[in-house]
Amino acid sequence: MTTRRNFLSQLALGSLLSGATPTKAKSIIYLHMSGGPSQIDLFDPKPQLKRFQGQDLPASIRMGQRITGMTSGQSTLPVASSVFSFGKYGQSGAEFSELLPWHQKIADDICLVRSVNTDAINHDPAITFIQTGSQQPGRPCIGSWVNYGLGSENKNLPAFVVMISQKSGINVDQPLFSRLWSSGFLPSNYQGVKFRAGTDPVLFLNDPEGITPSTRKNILELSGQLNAKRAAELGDPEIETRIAQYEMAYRMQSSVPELMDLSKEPESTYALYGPESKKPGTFAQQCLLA
Amino acid sequence: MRCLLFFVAVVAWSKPVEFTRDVRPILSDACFHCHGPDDSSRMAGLRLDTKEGAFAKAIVPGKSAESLLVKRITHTNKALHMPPLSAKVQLNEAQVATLKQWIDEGANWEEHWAYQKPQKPAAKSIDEIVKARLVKEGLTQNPPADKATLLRRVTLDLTGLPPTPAEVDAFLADKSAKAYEKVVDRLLASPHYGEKQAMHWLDLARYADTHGFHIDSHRDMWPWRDWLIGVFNKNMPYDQFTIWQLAGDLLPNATREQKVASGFNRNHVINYEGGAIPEEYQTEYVVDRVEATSTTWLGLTMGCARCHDHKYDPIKQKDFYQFFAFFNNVNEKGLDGQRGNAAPVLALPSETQAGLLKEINEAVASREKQLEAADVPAQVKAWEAERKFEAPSRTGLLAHYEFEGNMLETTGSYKHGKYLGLPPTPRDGPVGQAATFDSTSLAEAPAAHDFDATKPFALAFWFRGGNNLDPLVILQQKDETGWLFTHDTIFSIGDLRRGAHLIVKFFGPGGAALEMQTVAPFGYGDFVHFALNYDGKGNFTLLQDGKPAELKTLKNTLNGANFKTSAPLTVTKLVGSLDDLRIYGRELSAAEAHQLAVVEPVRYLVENSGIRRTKEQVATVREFYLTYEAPAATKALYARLQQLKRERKELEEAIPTTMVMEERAEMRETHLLIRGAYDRKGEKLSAATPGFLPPMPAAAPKNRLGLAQWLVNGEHPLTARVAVNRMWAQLFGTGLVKTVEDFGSQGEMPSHRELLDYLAVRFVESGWDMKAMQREMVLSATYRQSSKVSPALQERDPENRLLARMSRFRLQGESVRDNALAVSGLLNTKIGGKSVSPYQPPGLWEDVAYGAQFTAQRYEQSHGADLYRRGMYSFWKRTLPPATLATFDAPDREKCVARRATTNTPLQALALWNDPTFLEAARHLAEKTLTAAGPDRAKRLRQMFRTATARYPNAAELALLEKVTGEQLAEYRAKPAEAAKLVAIGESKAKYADVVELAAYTSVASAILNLDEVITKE
Repeated sequence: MTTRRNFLSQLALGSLLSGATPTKAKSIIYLHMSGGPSQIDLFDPKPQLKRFQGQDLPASIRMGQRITGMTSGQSTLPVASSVFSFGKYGQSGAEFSELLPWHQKIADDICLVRSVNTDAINHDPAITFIQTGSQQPGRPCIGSWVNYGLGSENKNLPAFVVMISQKSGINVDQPLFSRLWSSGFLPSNYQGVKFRAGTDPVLFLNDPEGITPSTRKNILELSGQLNAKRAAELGDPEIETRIAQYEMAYRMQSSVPELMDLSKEPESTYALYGPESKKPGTFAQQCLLA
Repeated sequence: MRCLLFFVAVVAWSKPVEFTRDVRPILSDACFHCHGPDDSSRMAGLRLDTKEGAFAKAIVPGKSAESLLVKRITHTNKALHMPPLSAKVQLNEAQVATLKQWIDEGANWEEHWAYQKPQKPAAKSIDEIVKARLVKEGLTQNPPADKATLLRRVTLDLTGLPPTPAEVDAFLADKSAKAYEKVVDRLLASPHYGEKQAMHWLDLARYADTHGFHIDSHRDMWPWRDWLIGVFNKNMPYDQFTIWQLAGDLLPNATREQKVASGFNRNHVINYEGGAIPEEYQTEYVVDRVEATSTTWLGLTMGCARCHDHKYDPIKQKDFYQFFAFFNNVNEKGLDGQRGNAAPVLALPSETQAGLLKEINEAVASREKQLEAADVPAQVKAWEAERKFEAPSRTGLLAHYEFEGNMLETTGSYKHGKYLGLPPTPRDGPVGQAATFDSTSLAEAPAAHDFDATKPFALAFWFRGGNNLDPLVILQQKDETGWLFTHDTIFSIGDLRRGAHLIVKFFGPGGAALEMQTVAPFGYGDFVHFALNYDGKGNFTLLQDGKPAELKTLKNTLNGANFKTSAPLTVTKLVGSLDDLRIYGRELSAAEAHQLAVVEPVRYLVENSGIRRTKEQVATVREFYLTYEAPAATKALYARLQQLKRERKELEEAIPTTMVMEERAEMRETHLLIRGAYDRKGEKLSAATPGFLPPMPAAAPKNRLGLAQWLVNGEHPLTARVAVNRMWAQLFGTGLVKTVEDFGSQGEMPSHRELLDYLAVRFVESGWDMKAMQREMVLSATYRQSSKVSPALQERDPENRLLARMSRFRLQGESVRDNALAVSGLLNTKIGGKSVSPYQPPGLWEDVAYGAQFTAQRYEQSHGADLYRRGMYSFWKRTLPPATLATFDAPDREKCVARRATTNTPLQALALWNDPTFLEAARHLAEKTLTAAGPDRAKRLRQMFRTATARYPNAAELALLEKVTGEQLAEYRAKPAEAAKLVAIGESKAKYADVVELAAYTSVASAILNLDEVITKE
């Protein structure tokens, strides 16, 4: 049986990477903060903004770039710098604002990329672009490509898992879409499997009341044995695959809850992730799970 | 992913090399990228995709050693070797040998097969061609499948549903030579035939019930879906079917049906994200139409030519935008869809509705004319000059906040309260100014007002909710005890009209509380007047806009405890507006509430006649006059007019609409878009078909109608081939051209080119008769073979491209569901209509939703018979398609999909085990069997198994079923409470009395519904 930690160590990156360059990476954890604060307020102060504060955005900077319909009706486009103060930290002298006091202390352990730019000017196309490389819907997401190209060494759990932090009740933030973890034109088994907060992390993982453990086992075995007879009769290898997938589903019924079980985490771990990490579905707890 | 080997492996052939089959794919893969159709990336001026290019300098026919091409691909100098060593695609020895052999054999050149018109082969049937090929391969066809398997296969293929046991019996009993043919004709005439055909077409059409993109709210395209099912059933010829869907609106005197049909190209995603640029999205819609149309009818990936000339096919970027021009003249907006369907829209009233609407419109027009004749503005003016208003009574008025830019109390104390944070913005309110709060502004009254459970009081105020969607406190006076007004989460009524319920709470000491809520919602975003009365004896009544409004008690633990508090009245973190807040030490009469809610706004305007009135204010005064003050006849006329307008609104809301194509009066200009960007316009272009295909007739209109007619004029090399190939793929699992979406040079070569051409020619000759085409396919011996496969054949031909057996593959997601519902007897066979919402785990939509003010953000599950509709009617939300169908590879419908994957995953097992749909179906299957089969266990199990599979279990299988049934009976006998829970799953109620027995058989039925055989077409 796979434990939580050992599952994580097997996630995503597999054999193909063992080619030209030896790699130490075993898994990828990708945090996508939809609606997070601007880099200008966090780690990319852009000092020239202060110089031009309040002035109209110079044409030499804008160079004809389009602007979102939210601001295109404005008569002026004043430059606004961050209202937060920045300092240089660590030996690298990386810049962080006062909003990131903890990052200041680990400045030399972080790789900051400040050269990223985009054509997207609106929320939906921007996050679709980040995840799929195209502003328009329809292409596979990065997780699906990694899954397709590298696969997983773990046979008990899906290779590509998605977790969404939830608010109570309906969202009032910008929406998310299943396209962000979709396999696009790749076969659908490369899409992200959503692990949900709460007691049923994978859709239909838990048997409902009335399906007792021995009933589940009987259903699994009865259909498995009947399938095996059919396979022997017809010779279709797809039936053997089906039998194997049912067995994996049965194993997942115990391996996934184990993976999602944080009850054995020491208090010191919770302390590192903050008090929110004890609440299911919060961003903090999803980080801890990841 | 399974490793798939194409059976025509490219090896050095001992037989003569065929250009199309053997050579062109090598050139396409290895050379076209730099020496292909794309003018801008061509190297050394050499092009190998055309005969002229290839023979100009690279190839000397018959002399491979002298051919530059061979010299370069075998060059030992790394710098001169082709393909360059840095290229991803390299040639292997076998490929080099093939190229040499081809040149030595004379370098026979053929144009790409798919762009040449299909030629009718000498062969006279499907079987003749398939068998001839098998003979060449040294293989033979399988014997026919047994009758039951064949019946189940053909019934699932033609209707998407399994045969009933009675249908199996009838077929087994019919020993006539025509037995099978009769069945096929019965199935082709079934109304479920149209549903099954439509199910596949919906993927091509990217049909969905929401707009997609960002907010993904509701749309109605089901009238188009209903049309589609109907014409499949009527067997509309494919040429007409094509013309209607691409250009129904452009047909002379287009009928309603023809316009509805044109909705094919309105099924694409539509955006209205705030801030998006309309032109960018309008461009995307047209691109989507080009992609969907070219994939569906041409089997071409024209999308590749959006940004540059196609790398492998002769599609120029210019061809793309000339094709684009056909679809670029729709009378649409770039951002639309906030209120349901996006323009252009067609209303679809029933005859009764249309008649009624006409009547109402006439009645409204005649009354408006009468009112106009009465010169109402002059009447109002005269009336205003005369009318004297009384101010509301000040008896018992304890406090009055008018919110005229401050928090002043004006009953006499004239004490100022405080605005904290940023002051609220003063804006026009119902009476003078109102205070508009956002979350940064707070207000606090100068003192506590006296609210005592032992004394009567009344609280009256105007409220208008702002943009915040979560419940926020409107007003409160509270520490441990006290009271507050709030509302529940805002929701949409109809298209973007928002509503919420007012909630009133009173708190006693120690957590005691009374909570009440209005029964009817109030319109959120409009000013509403509330007056809450308390009689001093525990009874509350509410007046809303001067009329009694029902309050229901949500919770009452107050039990007479006093809610008196010394906390001041405050407005805390409200997003919304307040006006004219009054507190009385007595109850208000209905007349007084009416005066505050209806008369006061008018009194204010009339008495302050110097203020320039807004349009709304003019209307308020006019309405007041006509409703209450005008002469009796005018009042009656106005009342009737208002009534008629309400009726008209209700009627209009009840009339369904669907999105259609409709041309703009003035042609929108089309330009080549440089690198595909909507704002980088190149050369101006007009509509034309791609240059490498046969031209449109000179006289044909250069619009969508001309395009559609060109597709189906019988001369087109692709249309018929692409259509019959798709029909073949539906039945055999894989198309004759496996890449059903790509017939270009990167698509796969047909496994049986002669067969594909035979079918394509037959199809056109038959008058594009879809049913006849499918009939011929399912009547073939090739289709009727058994699907058994030997290990040797499995290894030789894993994908069954040679057709030495029938393909055996899993049902499509919708059919997995439909099959379980059908065999259990639960299926609701209603055809068409609005989409429904079957069981789905809670919270899935809400995870991705935006705000409750938009439609289709919260999953509202259906109830009753709607839970058991066919899968194709499940509400398709693009950002979260139906969960179980998606697990079985249903696409999200964001783009045209011609070919679904067929995966085999553990998540599918979990869904079949535990989705309540399948457990409820298992219980119904068990119940049906127990009721009908008598007490004998073996008989019961035989019958149950046969209902699900169309065959009886053999002895070994029956023994297993009996053994497990015995164990399950023992299990549930020992745990009767578990048995009761199992049979309670699903909304339908179990009728069979012996719950333990029912549970045991339900569990066995679940195992049967999980069998590979049950979800597979054998």
